[in-house]
Order: sequence, then structure tokens, then C-alpha cells
Amino acid sequence: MPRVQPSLQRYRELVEQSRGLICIHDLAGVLLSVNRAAADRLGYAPEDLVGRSLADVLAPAVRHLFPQYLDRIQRGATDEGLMLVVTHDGDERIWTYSNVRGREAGGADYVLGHAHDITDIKRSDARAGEAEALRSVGRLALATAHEINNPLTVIMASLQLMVTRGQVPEEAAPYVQRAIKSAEQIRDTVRNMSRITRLELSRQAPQLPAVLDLTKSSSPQA
Amino acid sequence: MATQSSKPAETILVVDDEPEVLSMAADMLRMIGYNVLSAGGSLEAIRIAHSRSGPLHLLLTDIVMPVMTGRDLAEEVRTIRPNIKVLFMSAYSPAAIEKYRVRLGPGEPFLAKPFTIADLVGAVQRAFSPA
Repeated sequence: MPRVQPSLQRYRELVEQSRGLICIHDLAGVLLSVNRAAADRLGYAPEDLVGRSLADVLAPAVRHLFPQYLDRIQRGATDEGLMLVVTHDGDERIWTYSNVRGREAGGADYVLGHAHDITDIKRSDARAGEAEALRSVGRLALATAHEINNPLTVIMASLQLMVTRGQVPEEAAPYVQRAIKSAEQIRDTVRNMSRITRLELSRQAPQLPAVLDLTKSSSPQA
Repeated sequence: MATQSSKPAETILVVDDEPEVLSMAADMLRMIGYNVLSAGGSLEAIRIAHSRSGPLHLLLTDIVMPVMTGRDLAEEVRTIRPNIKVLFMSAYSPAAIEKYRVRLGPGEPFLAKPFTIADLVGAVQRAFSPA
């Protein structure tokens, strides 16, 4: 069959040159073949990985789940999900995999693994989630500032009008002055909180101002 | 201040949808010596601007209100009273007000709530001073 050899060569090149992460392992999890893209992503040469267990490149935190994966792939024809791998340099990466069990012409079963590295997408999603959470804090601060400032206007104005009109008995004057001072402290704190609204209005500011530490925010420069 | 002048006190139209704030602001302005008219909303303020026979010197208005913003109200009132001065006030910060599509111009008088009598006097005087 002279046409078979070129066809196999094309398949081999397809796998080797694919940017997808491809491997073949036996039913015990021992790697039989790893394409260049997968080996590069892990920081190894393909030949460094052949003969080793796939479990060796799993992150220690999830390595105990490997027997369960082998059990699933042996019982069923396919398995898919997320795997946390660790590179030669110790970086942890998230791969989504879709593996299929096959059988060689000679009778031995093997597993063809195909994966994509989604670490950057996952991290971007996490950053987007954090940014959204911070925007929610900003919206809360904005609404809270408004709801406090209106009644605080009434409190401060009432106290000042009483003092200005001479309606405060002498023995009560120190208490009224303390109340005015405390109201002004609330005003200053709320104005510091309103700085958070700038975060809410900016879709690119992932960091909270120091005002969230309300002890620090009491400084008059804020 | 208005009380220190021999000429008749200026008349200020105060607008706020928060009744207690409206009442307090009006009391403070009266104590300072201004004539004060109060409106609990934009439509009432426009009615006063139409029906008031005497002069209206200043519109002191909240910015974020139902029906229309303080900015829109000011434009409406200016069509009736072209020479009226305007002073905006809000419980929101100027940055937060932009969320409601109201942007204060550079140097445009603004009174942040809560305010003291001194804050109110200063803001009203700035609003009356030539731009």
C-alpha cells in the first residue's frame, strides 16, 4: 500500500505541528507520545515526557484525583474537564481537556488526549470579577453618601440655627458643640467615601483607594 | 449679606425634593436675611417662576431630582427669568453627579451637602458675584 505511508506522515505532521496540546497515554497514565506544543507549554522536550506518568505534570494539589480520571477513562470512552498542570518552572496552568479512549490495530488500548491552555482566560475572568466587585463597592459608597448627606444637612443646619438664634441653654451648649463637631466628622468621612465613586465611574481602575481603611481616611487631606 | 444692605433683600427660589432639607435651607437663608420661596420639585419651581410677580434673583436647586435634573430646571427657569443666577447643590459629589448626565462647568457655583451656614453664605455670595 504505497499511499499509506505519506498519509501517516501527514497525520504525524498534523499532530506535531498542531498548536493544540496533544498526547497519547496508556490506560495506566504513562505518556506514550506528546506533541511539541504540549511539551513546550510544560517547559519540557517531548522526549523528556515520554515514559513518565501524566500525573507527574499535574499540580500536587490535584494529583490525588488522577486515579479517578483513569478509572473514568477506562470505564467510558471519553472524559473531559479541567486539569491543573505544573510546568518545569513551577508555574501552574489551567488546561481544558477532552480525551478519547482508542484501540490500536494490535489490540492495546490507549487514550488520545487533546487540551487547550485557558489560564489567561481564567485569570482575565477573575480580574473582571474583581473589577465588578469593586464597582459594586463604588455604587454602594455613592448611594450611601447620598443617603447620609441629606439627613446630615438637616442635623447640622438645625444645630447651627439653634446656636445662631441663641436657643441653646448655657448648660447644653457644650453638648451641642460636640454634636456639631461629630456631625462634621461624619461629613468628612462620607466625603472620603465619595472618592470610591471615582472607581465606580472608571471601568479600568481595579484598585480601591486607601479610603476603605476608614482609620486612614480620617486624615484631613483626603 | 442681604441684611447688611439698605436695598431690599434678594429673593431666592430654593428647590429640593427632600422636604426636611428644603425647610432647613430656607430657614438658614431667611436667617441670613434673604427673601425665600420654596419648591418641593421642578414643576412647582417652574410654576413659581411663571406666577411670581416680583423679581427672582437666585435659583438654589438640588441637582438629582425626579422629573428633571436641576440643570434642566435651571434652563427652563432661565427661559422665564433670563437674568436669574443659579446655584446648584447636591448630596452627591461633583464626580458622582456626572452619572446623572449633569456636568458642572469650571468655576460653576456648587454647594455640597451637608453644608454649614458659612458654606451657604459663601456659595450664595459666589453665585451673586459677576462671573
